[in-house]
Amino acid sequence: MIIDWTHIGPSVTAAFLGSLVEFIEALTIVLAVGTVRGWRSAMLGTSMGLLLLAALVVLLGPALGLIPITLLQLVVGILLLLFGMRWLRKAILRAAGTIPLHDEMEAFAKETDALRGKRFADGIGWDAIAVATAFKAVVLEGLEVVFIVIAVGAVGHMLIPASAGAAVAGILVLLLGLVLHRPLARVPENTLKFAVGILISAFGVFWVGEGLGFHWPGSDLSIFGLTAGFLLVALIMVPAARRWVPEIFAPARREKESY
Amino acid sequence: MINGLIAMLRKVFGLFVDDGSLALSILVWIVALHVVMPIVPMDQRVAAPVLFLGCIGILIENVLRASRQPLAPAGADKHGNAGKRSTLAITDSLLPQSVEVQTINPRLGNEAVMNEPRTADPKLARQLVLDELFDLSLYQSLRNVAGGELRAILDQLIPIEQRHFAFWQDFFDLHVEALDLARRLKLVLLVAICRLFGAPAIHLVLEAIEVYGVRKYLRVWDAYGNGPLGGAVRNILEDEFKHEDEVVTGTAERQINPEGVRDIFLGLNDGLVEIVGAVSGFFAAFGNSLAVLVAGLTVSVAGALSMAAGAWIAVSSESEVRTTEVARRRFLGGRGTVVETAEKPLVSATIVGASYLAGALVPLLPVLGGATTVLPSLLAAGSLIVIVSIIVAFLSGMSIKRRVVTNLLITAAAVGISFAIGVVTKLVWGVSV
Repeated sequence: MIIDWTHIGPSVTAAFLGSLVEFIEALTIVLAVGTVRGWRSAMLGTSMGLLLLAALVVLLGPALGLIPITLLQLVVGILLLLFGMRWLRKAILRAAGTIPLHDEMEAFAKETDALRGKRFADGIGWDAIAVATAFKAVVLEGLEVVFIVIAVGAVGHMLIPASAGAAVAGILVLLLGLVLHRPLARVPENTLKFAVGILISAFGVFWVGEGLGFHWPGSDLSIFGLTAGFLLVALIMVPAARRWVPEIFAPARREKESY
Repeated sequence: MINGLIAMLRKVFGLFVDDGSLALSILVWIVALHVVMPIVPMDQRVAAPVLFLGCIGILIENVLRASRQPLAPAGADKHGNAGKRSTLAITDSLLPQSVEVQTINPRLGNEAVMNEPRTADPKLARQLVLDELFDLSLYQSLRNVAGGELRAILDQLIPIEQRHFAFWQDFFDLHVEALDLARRLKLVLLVAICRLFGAPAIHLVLEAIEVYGVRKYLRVWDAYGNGPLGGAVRNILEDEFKHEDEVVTGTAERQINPEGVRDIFLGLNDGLVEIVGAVSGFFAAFGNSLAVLVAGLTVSVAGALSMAAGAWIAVSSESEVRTTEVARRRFLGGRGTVVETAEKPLVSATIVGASYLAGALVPLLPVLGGATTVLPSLLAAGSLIVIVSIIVAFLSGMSIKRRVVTNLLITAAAVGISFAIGVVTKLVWGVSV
């Protein structure tokens, strides 16, 4: 079977990059749990989280087929646009220095400090706090992965390529985590979010247009044009946002948006 | 369990909504296109790029706003709970507390100001300091353009502005050395207009700046008048009002006749809004350019005459009432004198009628030039409405953005309703030309 990369490329790339970011964030917390409270409980929480996510995909996947295609395009397009523009906005502001970069080492340190302060529950075979923390991290970050995969794959019959992109990202992060045993702090997370924000926004605008019955010049290929358009604007906005930051306001903003 | 579920729902919501205004703008844009596109006779191939450009515009506006505005205090949590705190609390946390305020204005002397703890709204503070720097830069630039009496006025205003600029910088402990982009552009534009039109334009600009200044300082008074700094603020505001009023309106005769300006823009605005609405309805009902042109011209002329007659009746009635009142007082032994009214009925009627016609012709000219859809008329009228709104807002010291948006919304409502009536007329009564 010949793979048409022009067709599936954007979906696979968006799913891979988006999932990579979320897996890295989940890995940070699972690593913190494993280091402080033991790997057995961390792995149990992780497995339970993955099971719940798999159940969600199994339930949601076929249900998508019941929705009329135009409505699906519109709803998925709107959700993608909201999701993508949110990431892109934050990535631009981070690149401009208006808000600080997300620091995985700091997140790891905070999580380990918090976990050290909690007592082990007596009389239970498993460390409930560790299991719950790992489970919550995997489910919450994994929800974003599920959404990204469904959103970029559902409407263009790209569910399998998008799932493959996410799976590759998951395996990659897992392997790196096993080898390094510490958070992946050197991964340029903001650059990834910048790229994913652009790709997802481009998909979102495309599907919203399709859902509204608008005609895109060049049909599916217009996704490349939309991506280029978002990229150009985002690159221009970084220095523009940097110039606009008044010094007296910058410290407060850093505090507010540093999560 | 419930906490976990709430956390999950919050996470799902947070996937899509972080900055509420961004999400809302995107949704409004999509809904607006969904509603408007099917009824606008526009090439559907344009719709998709318009959708994309709107999203880009929303992103640009949001990022610039986010990078400019003070947001929330330290300690705000990730779900924006800081928003529940009062504005005062937020602004207080942005600035160092208990900073001694010092004034360099020798006239004020100001025991009241000295040693008072300062609380300041950073947005207002920055706006004030930048406005003073803008006024100073404008006067310095205009001094090179002006001659004779105007140059003398500016020579008096420049040191006043230098003092005010220094005062507000010290007052807020906010030192600004350069104008922001928007004010730089405004400065370049105003100086270019004054260069082009000479002394009358400079007079108008000086008076507009004065009107704007009054509104701005009254805002300062609202913010600080009742606080511990009330006395000091009152002193500096009196200084601002007195000097600028004396210099600008005392030395030279007022150039802005409020009634004249009101008449011009009232007529222009009425003509634009009414006829662009009518043209939309005619296009929806007739779909024939010639019929639209004839109907539009007829409505324009009738509207101009009606507006002129209305203005004539209003001003002459007012004049008659005033004359009668003066005669009554004189009869009763009072000292009544006939006050020369600023408006004369015929002049007012001519201005309103001519302005209305000028405004009305703007949406009709594209039809005269061969337009077969309402879109060129909408673009022409929309552009002029933006320009007129900016001029009115500048001359009257109002918020330009608010004035432009309000006028565009009113026009959009007029166009939408007229167009709907045209469509219904065609469907129900089968009108065709």
